[in-house]
Amino acid sequence: MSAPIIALDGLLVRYGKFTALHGVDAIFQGGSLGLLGPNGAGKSTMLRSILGLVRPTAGTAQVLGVDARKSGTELRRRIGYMPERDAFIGGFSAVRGLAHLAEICGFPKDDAMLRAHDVLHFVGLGEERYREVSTFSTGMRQRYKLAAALVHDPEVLFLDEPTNGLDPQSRARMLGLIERITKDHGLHLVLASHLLHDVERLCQEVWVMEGGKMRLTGSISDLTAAARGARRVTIANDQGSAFHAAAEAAGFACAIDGDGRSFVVHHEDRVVGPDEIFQLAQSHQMVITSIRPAARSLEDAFLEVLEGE
Amino acid sequence: MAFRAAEYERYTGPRSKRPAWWPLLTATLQRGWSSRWVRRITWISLIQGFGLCVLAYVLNDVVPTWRELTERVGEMAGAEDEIKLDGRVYLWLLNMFVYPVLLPLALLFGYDLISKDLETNATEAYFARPITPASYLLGRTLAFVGFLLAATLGPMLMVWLADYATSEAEHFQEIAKVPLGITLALSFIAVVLALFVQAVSVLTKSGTWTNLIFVVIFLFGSAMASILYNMTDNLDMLSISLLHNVYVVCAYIMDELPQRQDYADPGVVFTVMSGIGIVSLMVLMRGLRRRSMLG
Repeated sequence: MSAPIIALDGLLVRYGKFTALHGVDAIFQGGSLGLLGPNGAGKSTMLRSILGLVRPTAGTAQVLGVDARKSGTELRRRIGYMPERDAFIGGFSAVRGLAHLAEICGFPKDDAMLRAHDVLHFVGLGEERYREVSTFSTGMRQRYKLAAALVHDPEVLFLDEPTNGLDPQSRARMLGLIERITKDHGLHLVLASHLLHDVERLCQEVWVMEGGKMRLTGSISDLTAAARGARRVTIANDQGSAFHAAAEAAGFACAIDGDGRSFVVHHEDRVVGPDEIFQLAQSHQMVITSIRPAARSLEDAFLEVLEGE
Repeated sequence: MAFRAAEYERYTGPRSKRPAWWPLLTATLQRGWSSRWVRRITWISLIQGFGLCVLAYVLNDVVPTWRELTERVGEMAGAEDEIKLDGRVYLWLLNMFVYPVLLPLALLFGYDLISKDLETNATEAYFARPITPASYLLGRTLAFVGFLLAATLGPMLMVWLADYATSEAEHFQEIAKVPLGITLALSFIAVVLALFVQAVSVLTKSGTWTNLIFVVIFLFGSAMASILYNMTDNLDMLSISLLHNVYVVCAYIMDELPQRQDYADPGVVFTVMSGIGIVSLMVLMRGLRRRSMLG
């Protein structure tokens, strides 16, 4: 089995008396990972540790099998980082700025220029490549940053809020690009975002952080799968309160979900079968319009983790 | 294969072994050269140097008796010193090249080398790559020092070479120590100045403020030095003037410090200049290390 893409082992980072990361343990085997957490959760510190820019007080951060503390500079040659804020080299055209960044990563001059042209075409900025980045719109700047993260041919891509400030069309375009990069080019992705829909669409795994601690790690499909055997039931008009009362009387826990016609029905000890729901409805002469396994959204899971602590 | 091609897998081309600061140095030199005024200052200095080369050739080869002629004119005017094209003349030439170049180059080129990167957040793009704050600073500083030396040391060495090549063999003894002296003096001044300007720009995070502060320190420092000297009668007070220090450093390293006592002790001057350099370096490293903490 190959080395994990990221392996954190008791990663502890202190800034003076303030502890930013409390001995975090986590493993990312590869694919795409969403990094979630409220502001101040420790995501940025973790990112800095992974890039080898912060020296951990204790523990280790291994990336691509390399200790980030010992070989941070070398590691950054293999990682593409797209910062949240605008970051470009003033006075340079887009293509010259990218070629310059590729040269810093060890590309020969000619290859760096070719590569810069290539990735700018890839992100849809081919026509604008001779313009100064300072004249770009927000959407173009975001795509330029993505190109900058790709220009030196990294193995892992760290994207920090890549869809920030984008209109719906630009956002869809950006998400499509990221999807292509991960699926067609096989790059591993670490996505830090507050937009859970983006994470849900692009990532297979999530790490949820809060207060410098890792609250949850797992695959998104597991997190959003049927919640403890519950069923989401929708019934006909005007029968909502009656169904709620009947379900509670039958020993089910019944939570109203949405407009008063939908309920999440579950039992503490067992899986709720559809037959039981139909029988309950039949005995009270109610009409069920739909019944399906109750799934959580990533947002539900995220909030559950944060509120549960 | 192009990244956008569906079959693309990985870049398999060669990787350069150059240090990470090298592309930064060349890009900074290109950035400086793209500035019309930086080009003008550099060209004007080099053309002046070329003009002096022609003058050295004319004096040494076309009018080889110029020394006797000038001595006779000097005697008629009552001058006591013998006319010599020695280290003292080179010190005078050095000052002629240094003073008109230092301040303009700092104001036109050095002021935004780092502050522009801070404004556009380019430091974040740099430090997410295999470059350390020290390498970044090295690339930027070497480029600035390169321009300062091109506009000062370049023409001076041209003049020296022309003088050496066109004069008689025994003249070499008079000017033998000049190249090493001017190289050391100008390199020391250029490095200190480059670090100082960049440190101010890291503190202000603005090119405009850097320029204002630099002008105030450069010019106001000289005025303050004179005032404090007159008030305290302590010559070392002159060492707060950068212009004065530049002169003393050049004169001392070229071993041409005049006998008159109207300058600060060279030891004090070197301490002040080294102190400025070291403190600037500390400010720069601290500022850049902070910026290397991404996010």
